[in-house]
Amino acid sequence: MIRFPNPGSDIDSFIRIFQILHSELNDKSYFTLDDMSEKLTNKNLVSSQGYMGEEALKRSVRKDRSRDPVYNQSKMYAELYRILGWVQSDENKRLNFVFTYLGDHMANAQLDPLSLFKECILGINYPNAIIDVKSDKYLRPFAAILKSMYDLDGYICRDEMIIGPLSIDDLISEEYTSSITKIKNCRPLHKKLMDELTHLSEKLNIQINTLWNYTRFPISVLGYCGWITKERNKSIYTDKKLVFLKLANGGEKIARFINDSIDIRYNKVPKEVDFGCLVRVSFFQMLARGGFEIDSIQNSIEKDLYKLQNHYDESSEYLFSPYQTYKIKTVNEALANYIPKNKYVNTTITNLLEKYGDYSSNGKNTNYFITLNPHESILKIDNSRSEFVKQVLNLHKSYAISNEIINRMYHKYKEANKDVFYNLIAELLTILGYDCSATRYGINYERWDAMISDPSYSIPIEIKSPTEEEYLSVKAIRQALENKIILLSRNLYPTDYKTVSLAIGYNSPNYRSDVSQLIEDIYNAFGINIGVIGFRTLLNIVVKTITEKKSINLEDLRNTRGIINVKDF
Amino acid sequence: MSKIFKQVQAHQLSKRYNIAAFPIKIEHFPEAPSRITFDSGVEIESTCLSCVNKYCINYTNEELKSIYFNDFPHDTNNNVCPINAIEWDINSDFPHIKSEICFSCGLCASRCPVGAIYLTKDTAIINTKNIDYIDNTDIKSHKAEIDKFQNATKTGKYLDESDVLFSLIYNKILETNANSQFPNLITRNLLIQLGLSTLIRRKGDVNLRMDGVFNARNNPKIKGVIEIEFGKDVLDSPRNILDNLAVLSSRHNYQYNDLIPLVVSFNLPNIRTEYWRVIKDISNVLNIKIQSFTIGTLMLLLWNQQYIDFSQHNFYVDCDNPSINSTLSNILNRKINLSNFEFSITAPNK
Repeated sequence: MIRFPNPGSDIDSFIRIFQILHSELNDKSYFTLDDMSEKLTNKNLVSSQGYMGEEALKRSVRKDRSRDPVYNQSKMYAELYRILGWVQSDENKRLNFVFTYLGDHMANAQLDPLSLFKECILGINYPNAIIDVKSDKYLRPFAAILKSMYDLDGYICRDEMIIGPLSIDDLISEEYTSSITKIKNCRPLHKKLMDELTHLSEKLNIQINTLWNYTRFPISVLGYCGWITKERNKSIYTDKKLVFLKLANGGEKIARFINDSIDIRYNKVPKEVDFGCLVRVSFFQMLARGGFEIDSIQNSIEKDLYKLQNHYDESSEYLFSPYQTYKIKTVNEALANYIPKNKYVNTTITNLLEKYGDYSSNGKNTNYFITLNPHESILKIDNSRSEFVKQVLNLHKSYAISNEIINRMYHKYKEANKDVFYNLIAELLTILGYDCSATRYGINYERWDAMISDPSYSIPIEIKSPTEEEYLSVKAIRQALENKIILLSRNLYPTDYKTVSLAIGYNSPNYRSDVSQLIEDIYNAFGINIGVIGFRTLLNIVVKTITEKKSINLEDLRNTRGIINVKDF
Repeated sequence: MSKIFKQVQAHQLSKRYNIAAFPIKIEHFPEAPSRITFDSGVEIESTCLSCVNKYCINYTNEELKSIYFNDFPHDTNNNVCPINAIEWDINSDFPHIKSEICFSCGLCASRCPVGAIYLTKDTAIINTKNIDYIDNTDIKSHKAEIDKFQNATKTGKYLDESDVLFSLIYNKILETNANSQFPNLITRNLLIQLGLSTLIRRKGDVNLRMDGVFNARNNPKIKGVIEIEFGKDVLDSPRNILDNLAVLSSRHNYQYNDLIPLVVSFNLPNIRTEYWRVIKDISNVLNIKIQSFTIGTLMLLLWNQQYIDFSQHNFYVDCDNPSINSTLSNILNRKINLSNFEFSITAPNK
């Protein structure tokens, strides 16, 4: 199945960003992903970790490029621009890019970018000399989708697209026909379609969800081009109401054009054909359909057309996008008389890595440690009433090392739902000596999930169970802030402004998240302290309190901020 | 012959009114074409002049900037219509409105320099009938003609609000297959038309959490941050606003208490939801006054040719009084004719 990357932005922005990048980088002999990143941030087209402009770039640039968000956005754009024929990679260095002559025109399509964009969408074809794909099947995917829709009474749904036009060799007419038959045979039973989809997923060893993700770009493009509308239909599959793509008038027109046109594919041009003529005719027909005025060169195009008439029907138009099929060098040779000679001027490329160096997102954030002290601790809970204490003591009979017990308890709750997890957290804090209870379900005005009540310094707790989110995110921090404000405003429990508001989750925040920074932002702006505890940290404290007779200073918790860890003596 | 080819320009001819006088007034009417009064006393129906600068279709780059948030990585989509219901075919003399998807928000109408677009309950209509008063002309004369309208007084209103009208509009929006950026785009464009330079987050930007920022075009002191939620997530908006204010204050050196926080939603939340109490809590504890709008409210202000002036208008509402009717009444100097029975446009319906 053909896989498309997801541009991660709407197509209007995607095109505009290309036009901006072209105006900024066109004078370079080549440009890199770093150049793209720099221009994207300078023009405020991307952000990183909540920062904007140059600061975004500074925060994004990391030595491990796979984790660098702005670099990754540039990479994804470059990939799609390559697929569309607007840029190509340097022969020798894959990550050095140049704008193609087609890209120059796309950048200049300010009046009506959609018309040329549509041409480039139809121009996508595999295999080609530009994009490496594993499959050697021939496919012009958007043409195959529109043609299939036309042959399926104007309708196709996502899963039909996956098992049909996106998975065939469309030059083998039997494959195309059997794909249409397969879809027709599935209808009207959705179960049959699901069986086909499951079969394909197993054959390709790709999860169904991933297959669905690959259709995001084609579906949004089909809609953007005005070729389809979406319709919820319950008659095509009688056992399931599904969203179908319905061929719009514009799509039907294109489907007819595809049928009538001469479809040229990579390495399928007969030797006798004058390749230069073919490139010129196809390229300029493509520009003309894309709304460009090419009257001034009509005579020479006519001459080229004449040379092709021995092999191809002279009344038909060519469906062939040279820059999406052949290497830039090959295509440029054919178009040499038209490409402006002064297009490339050498300039120095800045290496942003050298400029900004490595950035650590946690550089200036606060992390707080709670200290476990050796102490003749007296458990503050009646052992017989705490299931958790019983479980730990039982495990302690088999495992002398606390870490083993902590690991077992940690994994035991990895699929705990809200009800289980919220009560468990309240129980753990109670074991430590806090007066803590989970909020009963349905009490709307108590927005927190649990409360450590204290005569002077009550602490609201926002809890996220592992089934809600595996890693604590900024959502929990926002809620912890709201909890604190509600508590201060409504005075339901006594507290003061400085006392922490807690967020407790199964895992501490993902290293890429903005949690630590947001906690600092909230403190800087409002002077409110938010603390975060991961389940494993809490288990560490509680289990060691039970098994090693250690304890913490209960007062410590209320003065914390940031991600709370534990020091064990 | 080496060159970059150009796209074919639309073969539209620039136009001007053939009346030798200055326009002094454009009066708008619900469901009927607006009328232009010239200083000679001549009064005509306003007609489309096929503007070279397509005001009804696109914003200029300058209009999509904010002097206070020039680093904000924003959506540069310059479409005036958030659902692309207005288009201009290359072979047509006039723009065209797709009435099947247009829901009469009034954005395109409010941008027409000569008042040639009027609203009905179903769609906006571009008036192209009054051709006897129109001449073809060169671009310079056409632009000079448009400039003459800058000082004309704009009176009247585009539509009269009513439950029936909002029912039609809101249901049409709900049926629209708009993309996920639609709430942000319509909000941005309505706020721009109401006098606020507004920027919105780019679709798919996962690194920036705030939906938008704005500053008043005519008052340098007024600026703020926007949360836009058209679904049930509106209940999270107050805490999201606090996140935005904290980030702008801590990372970008804006004073959070200098920023006006706006929540823009499709419907106002149900009165029994905690939204209203949390708004009050935030005001109590941090003295941050979150102002609540619906897109219906913004349309209503636009139809009545108003601007939002935060130095005079206060849209802060909370659980003690969750209705923005009185603020709207003050601005429009009349009662608001809405029961909010079906949709909570200016007050929660439950």
